[in-house]
Amino acid sequence: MGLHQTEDNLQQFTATITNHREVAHNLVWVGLRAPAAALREARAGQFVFVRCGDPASFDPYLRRPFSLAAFDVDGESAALLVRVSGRGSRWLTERVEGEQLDMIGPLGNGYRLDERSRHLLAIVGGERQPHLAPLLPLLKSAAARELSVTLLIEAEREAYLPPASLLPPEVEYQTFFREAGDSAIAHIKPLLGWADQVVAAGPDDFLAALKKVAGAVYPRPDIQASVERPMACAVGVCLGCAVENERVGYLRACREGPVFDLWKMVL
Amino acid sequence: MPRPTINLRVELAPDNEHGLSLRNPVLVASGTFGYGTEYGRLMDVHRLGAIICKGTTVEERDGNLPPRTVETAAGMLNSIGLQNRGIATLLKDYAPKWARWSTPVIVNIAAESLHDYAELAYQVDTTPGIAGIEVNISCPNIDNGSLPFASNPQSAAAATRAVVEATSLPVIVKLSPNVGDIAAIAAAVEEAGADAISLINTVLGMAVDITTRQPTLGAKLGGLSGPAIKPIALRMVWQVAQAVSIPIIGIGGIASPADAIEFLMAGATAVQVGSATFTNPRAALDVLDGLSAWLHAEGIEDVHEIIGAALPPQ
Repeated sequence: MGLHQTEDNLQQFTATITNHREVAHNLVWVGLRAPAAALREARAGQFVFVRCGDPASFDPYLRRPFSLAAFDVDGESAALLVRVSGRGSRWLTERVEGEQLDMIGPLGNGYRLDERSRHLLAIVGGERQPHLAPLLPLLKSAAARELSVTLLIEAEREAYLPPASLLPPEVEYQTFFREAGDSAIAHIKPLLGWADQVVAAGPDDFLAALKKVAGAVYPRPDIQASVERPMACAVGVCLGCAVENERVGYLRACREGPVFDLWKMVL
Repeated sequence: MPRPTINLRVELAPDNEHGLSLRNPVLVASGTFGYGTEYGRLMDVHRLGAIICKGTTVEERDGNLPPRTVETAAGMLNSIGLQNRGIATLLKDYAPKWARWSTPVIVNIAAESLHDYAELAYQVDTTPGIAGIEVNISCPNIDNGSLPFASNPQSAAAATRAVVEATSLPVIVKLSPNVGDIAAIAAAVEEAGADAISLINTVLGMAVDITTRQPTLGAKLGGLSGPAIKPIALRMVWQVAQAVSIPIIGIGGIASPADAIEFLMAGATAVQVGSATFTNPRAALDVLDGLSAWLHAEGIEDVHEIIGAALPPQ
């Protein structure tokens, strides 16, 4: 496996919150300034592992993984797109500008944009709220390379949806709402023939549904999917974030992932 | 930084022919530090007293169904299921690296039969680059009703004997807290020839997902670790220290220098830092530096002066 193994760039650093705004219900954009070059070699789909609590307390005990929603080539500025889902994410979204965060990264294997791709299809879903963060830097670089990009996104309802303003204007943004009985996956079939490459992000049941629908299409498109897993260590030692691969057994979302070849995943 | 005037060196296997002399009493626990290479970018592994590698079995193991971890109050549950690639791969891929390190590496072994314990000990014994063996006896004994070896004095002693007879290396036996009389088990392990005892392994627990109304972990039950279990671990170290004369390595929720000092005072000769490394990759080094600073501030020249300070007078 291991599309892009990057442990050599790994470091622990302190980032300063530069801006902080609620962009949708339950969804907070956290802009960061990192030490020079801390994230210079970051790639779309990678994540940072953030201490989300008082450093003098052991509760909450574990760090939280967050995908890099944005990062600049100078490696000094970055952003997280945080869904408030528990104690750690709530603590993080209650920080204000100027406060510092202890983080480790960049971690994991990101998405790989094929140089020959002209048409990129992105599909994102979630239990209530879609997990757009890992795809944002990829959509930005795809648009910069003048690819034709379509993003299908589903949320429980409109209030949970990340706003289109987070995306490059070139991206065609199609939204679907579960409360209306609709799903992004129900609309994907006609686009699978158009796309040279498909990228996805979401929880396992969403990815399983995607795999089922896309598996009925011939030829099967290349699909890279980012998984969601709680993590204890994020550096590959605890083996907690297991993702089953059909040939080699359990892989680690933190090291071999979080982006995997969807066709090799057992969901 | 450690002051040169303070002696931190500890000997964990005084009666073993090779001995297990560590430059300081701060180790990292099995399952929280991989094979010693993963944290190399985040902290200086060569300052540690010793590294205990991820538990290894004779054959490769796939591990348990996910989810495998869940956070709890000041701690976490895990049920990894001993996922590992087997002893032959471990010895081929890592032992040659370890042989060049100044930090000793202790291999943690786990088995479900006495035969496999002996097989693991023999294979480790004949490979350079390994300073000692830590024996996980918390696995089910498949030849005897699948109760864990650690659950009674007889089976704990049998597992210890199987390892000791197959190796000349120092043998540390890691005790489970999920027992009635920990002191009786420790005494039986000492009698069976262990050079040292480490304790505690994780405390058996569980979590329920109220959305699915089912156990959260794929394996249903898991082991609790982290600061939440420190008082249990400390109590057990204190009890075992009064029952045995071999060195004890304290484990369980150690995240700060003060935690480590408590364990030393309760009778441990050394400590292992476990899941605290996940939160703070430098946790073991912070414990070491803080211990040195505390000893210096107290005017103590040798760490042995505080070992067992909290034990009742004999």
